[in-house]
Amino acid sequence: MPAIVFNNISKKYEIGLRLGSIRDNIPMMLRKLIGRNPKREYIWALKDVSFDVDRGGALGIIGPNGAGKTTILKLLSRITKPTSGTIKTEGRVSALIELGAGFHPDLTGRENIYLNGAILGLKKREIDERFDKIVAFSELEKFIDTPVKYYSSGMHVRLGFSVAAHINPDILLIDEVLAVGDMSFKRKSLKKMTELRNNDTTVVFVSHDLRSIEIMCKEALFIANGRIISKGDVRDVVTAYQMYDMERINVMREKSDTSDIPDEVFITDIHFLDINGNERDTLYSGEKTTVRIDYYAPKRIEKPIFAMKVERADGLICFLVRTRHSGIVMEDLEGEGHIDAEFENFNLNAGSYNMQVFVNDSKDILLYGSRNKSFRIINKDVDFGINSGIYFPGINWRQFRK
Amino acid sequence: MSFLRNIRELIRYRELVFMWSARSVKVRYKQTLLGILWAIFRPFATMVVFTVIFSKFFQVPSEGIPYPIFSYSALVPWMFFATSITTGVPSLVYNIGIVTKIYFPREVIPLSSIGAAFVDFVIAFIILIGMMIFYNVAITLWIFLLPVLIVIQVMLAVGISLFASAANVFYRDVRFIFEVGMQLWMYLSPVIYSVEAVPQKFIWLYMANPMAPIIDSYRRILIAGQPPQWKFLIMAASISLVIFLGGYSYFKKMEEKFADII
Repeated sequence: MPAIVFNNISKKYEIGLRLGSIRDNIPMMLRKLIGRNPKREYIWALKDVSFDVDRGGALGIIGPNGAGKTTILKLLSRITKPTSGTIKTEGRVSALIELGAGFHPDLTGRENIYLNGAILGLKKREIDERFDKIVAFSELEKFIDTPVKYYSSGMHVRLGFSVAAHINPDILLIDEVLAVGDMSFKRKSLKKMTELRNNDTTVVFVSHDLRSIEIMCKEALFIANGRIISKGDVRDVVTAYQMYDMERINVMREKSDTSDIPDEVFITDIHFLDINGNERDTLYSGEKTTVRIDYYAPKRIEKPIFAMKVERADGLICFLVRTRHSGIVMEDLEGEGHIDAEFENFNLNAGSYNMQVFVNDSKDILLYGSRNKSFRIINKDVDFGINSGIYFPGINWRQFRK
Repeated sequence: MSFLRNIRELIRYRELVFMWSARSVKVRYKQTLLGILWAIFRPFATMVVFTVIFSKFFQVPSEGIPYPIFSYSALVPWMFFATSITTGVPSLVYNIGIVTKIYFPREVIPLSSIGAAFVDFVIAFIILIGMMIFYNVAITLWIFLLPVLIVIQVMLAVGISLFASAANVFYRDVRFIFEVGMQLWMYLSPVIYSVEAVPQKFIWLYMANPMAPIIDSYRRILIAGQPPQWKFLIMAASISLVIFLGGYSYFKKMEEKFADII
């Protein structure tokens, strides 16, 4: 039985709608009177979005800024109503959508806990029962009788999360807010959310931190421009998002790179070939792999230098290698051809990566900015647990007994 | 029926109304020297001013009742009404942050403004009792009608606040209209003068303002020891009920747009 059914939801906002005072609206009213309806412009924050989450399940929502992630949470928590479609939620919904929602700056932490609890639908007695736990979790014992206007943003988050998590919600909605807290509180919150989920609370979690999403959720939803791009198993969805994100960055890079660099040589494509010489986009960790770089040089380039950089989806540089560093002097380029870079063991760990290739002339002046290619690596024969780190060592394990 | 469902949900959130009212009172008097004493000082000071101006200079007749208690007995319920409205109307816009971030029945916010005004009313009323003893006012059984008057007045204030606070989200002018309007409204109600001063041929028109029979009835049952003028009070109760129902249903209709517009 799903705890959340989000059925075919669309949400439209009117933009440029002048509201605020009667005077501002007089022109519009006049136009209405003479029968000319003013042109109205809408944006669709969500379009035909459907999903459901089982009781005790956890759904991660990812996507670029402005994709509609927060709109989904606002709809689930009834803050706003859908333009079309139906939403069903089961039980008490507790949402932490923005920092300190419902906190009054002039009231103390203690007073705000009671007020916030009441907003979330608790009786005073129920808040009394939970009060000590809330304070202990937030680690704000010393400041609980201080007005919250003197709290730092981290303290706000601690108190807000603590209240939202301790009211025993049936459904817990958490937006980006945890990003504000320090690392140890973030870890603690994730642990608390996992604990709630194991106790049958349904969790919907929006974050840019893909690691947290992977830890928390089995299922995920990737939306962009108000539409679902991918949904299902969290690892597939996260990968789809990383690929999308890198493509987007590559498009931006290529636009800017080609503009101010002389076109003396073009890298027309990059291919990944497996051990059998077949082209692949998904590679296995530790396997022999060949990177084939197609080029086209309209003019003769003497002794070029090739450089190859690989970044992980989060921007971490895994390696940057140059032909000159390997002591190789390339032959002159002219016309079309390709360069093969053969990796005996491609020792990158599972994940999404981006490769960038540059060509410099013999004096190391950049001739061709870059060509980007996104690719994905998976661990062969591994279907339990994920390895972490970027390096996938080829190890021969041996076991001995005395 | 959606009206019953709304009321039921509101009842579930009643503790929030109490807590929010308490919060409003606390916040209002935080960082003031006199604190909650302002609830007494405001009507009392106004009474003193009125007494000097209207009783001493203009010699407004007060039906043989000493003018200080004559005006104070009307100012206390009037200020309850006026404060309910002037704080209730902008309350939704003041609480933008909460409305866009968390769900609860939105009427809690304007209702809590009225709740906070009621706290002031009770405190100011204690002084009224003191004055009644001081002026040797004979207390009659009509005083038991007090809760009825309060209910009628609260219904009226709730209806207006719900309607106007929702409209104020869309047109911020509404708040200013009411700030000016409440001044005029006081002069149209028997606060500084007696209903007896109103010419007989206009009496029905005058009493169509529900606050006129309400204020008049407070004065009659508390100070004069007389029954209210029933026909006018019943008319006021009916008008208040209609305004309450209309305001509430308008509020509920507009409610779903609040978070998108604020």
